[in-house]
Amino acid sequence: MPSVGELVVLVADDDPDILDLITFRLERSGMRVIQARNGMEALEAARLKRPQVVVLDWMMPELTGIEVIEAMRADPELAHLPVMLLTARVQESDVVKGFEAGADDYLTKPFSPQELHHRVQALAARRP
Amino acid sequence: MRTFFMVFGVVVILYSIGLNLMFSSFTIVAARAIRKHHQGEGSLTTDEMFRSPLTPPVSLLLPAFNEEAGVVESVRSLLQLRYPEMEILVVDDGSTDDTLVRLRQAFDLIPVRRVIRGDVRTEEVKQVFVSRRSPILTVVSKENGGKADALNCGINLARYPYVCAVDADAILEEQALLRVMAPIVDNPKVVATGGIVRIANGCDVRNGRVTDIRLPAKWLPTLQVVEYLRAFLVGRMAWAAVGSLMIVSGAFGVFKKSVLVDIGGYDTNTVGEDMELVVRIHRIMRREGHEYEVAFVPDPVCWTEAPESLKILSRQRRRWQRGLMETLWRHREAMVEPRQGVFGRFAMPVFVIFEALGPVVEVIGYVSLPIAAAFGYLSWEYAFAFYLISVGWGMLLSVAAVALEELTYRRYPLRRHVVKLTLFSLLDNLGYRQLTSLWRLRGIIEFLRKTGGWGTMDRKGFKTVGAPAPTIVTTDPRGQSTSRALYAGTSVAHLEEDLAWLEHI
Amino acid sequence: MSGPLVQISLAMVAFNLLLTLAVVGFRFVGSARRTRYQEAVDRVKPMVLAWIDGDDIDLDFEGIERQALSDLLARYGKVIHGEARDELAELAKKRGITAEIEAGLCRRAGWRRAAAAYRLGDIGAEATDVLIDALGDKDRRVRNAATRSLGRSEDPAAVEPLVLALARGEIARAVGGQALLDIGSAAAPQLDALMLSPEPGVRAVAAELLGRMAMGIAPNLATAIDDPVPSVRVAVARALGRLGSRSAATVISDLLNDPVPYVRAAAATAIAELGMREYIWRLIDMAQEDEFLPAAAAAKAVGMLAPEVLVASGFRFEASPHLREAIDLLAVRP
Repeated sequence: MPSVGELVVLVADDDPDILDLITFRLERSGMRVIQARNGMEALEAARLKRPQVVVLDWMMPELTGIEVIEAMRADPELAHLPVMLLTARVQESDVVKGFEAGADDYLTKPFSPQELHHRVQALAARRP
Repeated sequence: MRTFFMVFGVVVILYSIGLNLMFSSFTIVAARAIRKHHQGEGSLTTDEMFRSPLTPPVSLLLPAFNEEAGVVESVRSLLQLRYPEMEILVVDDGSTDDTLVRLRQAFDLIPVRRVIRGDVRTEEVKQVFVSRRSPILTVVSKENGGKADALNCGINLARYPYVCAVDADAILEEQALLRVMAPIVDNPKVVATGGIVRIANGCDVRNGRVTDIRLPAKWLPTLQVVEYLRAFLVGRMAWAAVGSLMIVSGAFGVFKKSVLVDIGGYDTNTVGEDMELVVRIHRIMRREGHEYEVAFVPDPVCWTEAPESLKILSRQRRRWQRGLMETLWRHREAMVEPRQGVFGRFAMPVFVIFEALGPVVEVIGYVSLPIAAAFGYLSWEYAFAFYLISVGWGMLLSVAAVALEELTYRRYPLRRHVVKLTLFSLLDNLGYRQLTSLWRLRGIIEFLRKTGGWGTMDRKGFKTVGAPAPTIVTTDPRGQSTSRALYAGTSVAHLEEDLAWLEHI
Repeated sequence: MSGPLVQISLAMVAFNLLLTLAVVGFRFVGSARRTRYQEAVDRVKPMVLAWIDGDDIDLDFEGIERQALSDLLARYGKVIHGEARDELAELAKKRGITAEIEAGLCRRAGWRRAAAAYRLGDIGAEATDVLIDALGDKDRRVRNAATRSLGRSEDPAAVEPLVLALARGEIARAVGGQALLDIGSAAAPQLDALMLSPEPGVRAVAAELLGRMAMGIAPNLATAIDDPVPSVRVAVARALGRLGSRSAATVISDLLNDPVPYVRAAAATAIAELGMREYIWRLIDMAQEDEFLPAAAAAKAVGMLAPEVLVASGFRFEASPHLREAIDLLAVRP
């Protein structure tokens, strides 16, 4: 398991309040957080800043979370990066769609920052 | 001669006072309604509608005629709309360019043998395609029949209980559909809704979204920004508040599909099909005694490119006026029919007096006042004062509309744009409005000439309620079409189920 | 006569200029106020975040900072749940913010009451009673806002008033339904009891929502399959199909003979959802001969149950357009 202190997490959401909450929680536990406000920024940051875990909102401007995942999976450098999808949707079929696109985990909004933190840790631990 | 000018002078003055009083009260009504809407946050944030599985699904209809340059981009923009369940129906109205080819390349379309309901009669469907990339996208290729006919074809294919007509060149807000559907979610009696259309000239547009809101650099579109604020923020808001909104913008408007089917769909025989449709909805719903509502959301939903040249603007205004005249003429009897209420007794007459005849009175007024003064029938001072008052009052209304925008949405982030906008609201009564009156007058003349006098206008008559002779058109990939009789009922279980659900709630 | 006229007109022009200046001035004054508010938010925000994270710090503000605190609690409360949200609700209560908002429910302006009802849900206040009272408000926006906040409270006591308001059309169906789904499993027994209501509207709503709750088949749901009102039968068929229990198989298959076309359509869809392959020939006959709506639903159902059978049926030269349509659509909806 990589030490938590070095963990770099990319968080992408178009709601600044959600970014605030997640960033605060993760940074408190010693992770480094890179913020992105839309899908395009998220994809660029994933390529340039080498995060170890990615948290993506489903509905974002420019590119949706699903589209970001698909682009990442098509890129050999990013194909194995663990991704958690944050979604406002509760319908089962949507969750399936998220996993089909290649998400490793998902969390529905409203969410618990603590739960998100633990799941990010678990995802990081699962990395090869 | 003298008496003529005296009488006419009085008419013009009374008219002008009436018009301005009318719009002043509209401004107050609109301000109250917007305040209520804006500060109340709505009952639901768009997020909650997006989350709810009970938000009614919508079929988006995009008619396209020779749109090869922009159609792929438009569809992409529609696919990005935030909405829980929707389908997109692109109707290629017999384009002679590569519209269909571009769509097939971009979205991996495959032909399917769709069964089409014959709810509304249209030109023949050639082929139906579904996208393998985005299964919610269907493309229909049909014989050319005009925009209204293409929309009707979309209505026949739509699976969902609500349809939303979209212009190919409209730039949509991501939340547009959630916003316009909000009144329907709140109240299922709403049969049609629309929102505010704004002018995109000067704004940054990226990936089919307006990302940076600016005022246009040129005069002409800036004047139209003020004009649109007046028309939408004040005009439509006030009409909706009194229950007689007559226009739901064709650029982005939602309708209850069963109502459209019942009244026979869009009329293919007018240049103003969007207004005609809404007027017909009012008339028929009232005549049959249904409880219904046509709602308006004072939230921005879409952006459109305004004409930057006088020539194109003039053409647009003449067409609008012609469409308005055609609709009012066709439905003139609503003013005397029983049970038409506010719509027939107030909204229709006001439209006839101020919208249809307005340009005539205005232009004659501008011409005759100086003549009367020159002949000594009228003092110069009087003519001057009259002119100042009517212009000043008009300015007041324009400034008030801008003020309303400033007090609520404040979509223009830069201070200098606010200064510019208010200055233009003063300017728009000094020349621009007079110019549009001239164009509208020409539109009226074209209307009279085209129809060869008032008498022959009603060539098509009023469509009776009830479905037209129904046919099913089945189109298979080999392009052979067959027709057969249709039963009562609609296409997909989902729709009827939803209606069953609506029956009680 | 014309002297005063000219004066009036000049006064009007002057007034216009004043109004213009007022609009511009308002923007400048307004933006100064917004800047001050924004600064207050920036000061308070880190402390609120720390509080949500479990820190025990003293959060007591006055004036504009108190306003910022109240707004931030609502903003964050809207997007989080769990322990953190409880912390937040506790803070709001301790600082008197909850009481202030509750007082807003008595304001005269409808939008103020609606905003208060809404905010109570955002901050997660324990305010079920006042919110249930607000369901009887004369303003629709207040009722909808209260509905949504009751959903967020997840308090089972709200179930019955919500279902009644929903059935009477006093609240929006998407809002009311979502609120009941948010309350979740606790709502199921009461919804089931409502299946016996004399109001068909209440029965249909209850069935629809039970079907979306994935709680297993409630006792009164299955027996409602022969309800005299078609839209209730549709809601029940859909619910049983969604819940995926084959114990309901025979009752649903009876609905294939229902006199109402859209009930037959709903039954066909439910049979496909339950995976009842034994009805496949029956469905093919329906797709072949029934009216538009049930035929289309049946053809689609055949495709869901057994795509290969659907494809084979297409080789019959007299295959109905609905079967052919369903075959083509298999390619895009596997």
